[in-house]
Amino acid sequence: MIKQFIGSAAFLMVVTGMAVGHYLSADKISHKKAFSDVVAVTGIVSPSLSTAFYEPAFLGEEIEHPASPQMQSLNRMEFVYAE
Amino acid sequence: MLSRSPFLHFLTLLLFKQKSKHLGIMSISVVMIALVSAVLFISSSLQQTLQDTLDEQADFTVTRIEAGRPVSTPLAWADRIIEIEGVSQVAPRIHGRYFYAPREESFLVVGIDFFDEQGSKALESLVKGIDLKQFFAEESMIVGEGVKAFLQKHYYKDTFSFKTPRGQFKKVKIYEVLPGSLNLLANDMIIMPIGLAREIFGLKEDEVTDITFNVPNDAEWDNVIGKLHLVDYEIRVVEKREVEKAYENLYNYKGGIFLILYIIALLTLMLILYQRYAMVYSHERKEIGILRAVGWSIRDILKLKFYETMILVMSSFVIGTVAAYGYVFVLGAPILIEIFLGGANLENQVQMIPEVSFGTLGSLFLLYAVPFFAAVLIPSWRVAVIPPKEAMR
Amino acid sequence: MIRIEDVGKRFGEGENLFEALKSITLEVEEGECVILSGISGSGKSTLLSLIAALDRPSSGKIVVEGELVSKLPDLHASAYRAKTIGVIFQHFNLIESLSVEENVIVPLINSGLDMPAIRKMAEQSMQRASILHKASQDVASLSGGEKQRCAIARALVNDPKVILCDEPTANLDRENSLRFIDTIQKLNQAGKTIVIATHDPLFEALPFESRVIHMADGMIGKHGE
Repeated sequence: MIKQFIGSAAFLMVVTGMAVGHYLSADKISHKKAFSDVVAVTGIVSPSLSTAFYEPAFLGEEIEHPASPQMQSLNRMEFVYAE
Repeated sequence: MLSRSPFLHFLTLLLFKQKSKHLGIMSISVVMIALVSAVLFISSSLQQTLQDTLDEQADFTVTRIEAGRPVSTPLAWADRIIEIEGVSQVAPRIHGRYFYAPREESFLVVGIDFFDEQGSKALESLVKGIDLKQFFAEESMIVGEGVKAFLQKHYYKDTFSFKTPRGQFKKVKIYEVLPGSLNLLANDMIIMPIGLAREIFGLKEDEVTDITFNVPNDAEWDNVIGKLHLVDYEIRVVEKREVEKAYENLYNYKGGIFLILYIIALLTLMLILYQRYAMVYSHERKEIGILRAVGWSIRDILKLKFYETMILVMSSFVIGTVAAYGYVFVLGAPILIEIFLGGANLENQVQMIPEVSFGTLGSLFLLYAVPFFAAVLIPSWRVAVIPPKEAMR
Repeated sequence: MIRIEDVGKRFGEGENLFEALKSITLEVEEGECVILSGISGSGKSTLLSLIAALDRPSSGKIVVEGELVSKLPDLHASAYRAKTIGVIFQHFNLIESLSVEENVIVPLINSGLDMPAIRKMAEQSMQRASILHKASQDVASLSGGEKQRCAIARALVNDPKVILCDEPTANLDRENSLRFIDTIQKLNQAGKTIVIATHDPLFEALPFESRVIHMADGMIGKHGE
């Protein structure tokens, strides 16, 4: 049983090692640079949320999406229970 | 050396021979840890990425509000804003959502200026080998991956015809597709020359969507806001900190639905642990009694139970977190990501940057391990201290 | 070897008070075989568990090999159970999910010996109890007699001076019971001190020297050869 145990422990360590390797080798700098470039080109920082198009239709209707007033507000439940 | 240790031999013997006893609780723990860590990984990765981009955002954005609704902003405001002391980098922007009625889906159209030197440089670095002159001369656009996939699905291979507010169609060529690694920001984005964007949105030459600018001195912010309201009665000012707060709230795992998820996960864990507690007390009672009868001390029993629990806790935690890591950062968190990004518009296959909040992961470990240890060690101790004869009965 | 002085054992309190043992005094010499006989509830099993330090007496004292076992703290009581005595229980008390050999090594896990030495001792013990051929078989699949022999092997593995048997033949057929008596005889000849609590008449006339002590109502009745 000790062999089986050592085998399982080694497997877990290899899997963890792979995850750690993936984490450490991820190219975060160039990724960050690409995002900065998009912001520099467009000036838009809002994430590309997949929310329904929404136009304020009534006078006095509250607009609560500070970054993109034409989109529906973040506190609407359709956002969570999307299709 | 390890293979000569009787304690390890017996410990592994019990673990493997009584695996059915451990497998149930371990698999439920793995699923729960994987689910909670996946949510943590997604939220910390999104938060980090958005924080990085928010750092690049202008301090203020102003738009014009008419009867509570945002309308086009006069370009003339830019000249008046630049006159305010302490203001820099004033940039009028044209952007907006283009609604594709047949499918009730929308794209984010952004107009960019050829004469914006910094923006052009960034565009060259973003789209390798772009011929800026050609791009700005032709009626062409650079689209995000989600837009490209959507257009292709609807048979728009190389061009797309926008409908302008004047009722005309504007045929625009797809010049390039943005890399998929930018999907978090640019999945539904269409970048095109500013003139073209103005035409599609029906804006006049002296109108823009909004104006952004920076105020490098934080102490001046409130002062500047006061002066902005003197520019026009219909001005609406959005501060960077408001936007930051909005997105922080959105992805904060403490908030709303995730709090419910955590509570459910925690309750399930407690229930499982209570069951474990009861199981140790009833089923393992005899076993502990036998060990005590053949000469094991209370300390020996607790040592055995401690290491047995440690192996279970450690392995289920490692399996759970590594599975969550693979699910989120290798597979891109299918299904779960829709809770974060929504699924009402274009499909978004985000590639997340590996970002792990080790502090939160550590707290999760403690939250899981401490009750687990307690649920095993306390009943084991309670059984171990009673006379072995009674425990074996 | 074993000296029991004025030992009493009470369970419960008030109206539920039950006196299982009443002022028992007894001495067992080294190498002696003592049969505690009597009907169920006469207190013989309770007395055995007190000698094995599986429970503590309410009054009096028990001295085994010069050690006051009735007052031992847990760590010492465990060491006493691990080194000085071997117990064979009526219901065998084996860990069902483990094999015969794995059950036999249990008392030696914390002995400080390494695994090869433990395996060697277990093998010798299983040989003595005639269960070596079933060493790798799971206990759950064994017959009553085989379980009994596995329990004997476990009791002998640490080479104890005293062997205590609690109703050892209660779950065995006649053939297996005789086989058990044969094993006990060999152990007694090897110099082990043996105390057996039983109500089986087979033990009234053993083919070797033994002392039968009748117990009734928590008291020793009469002594006999």
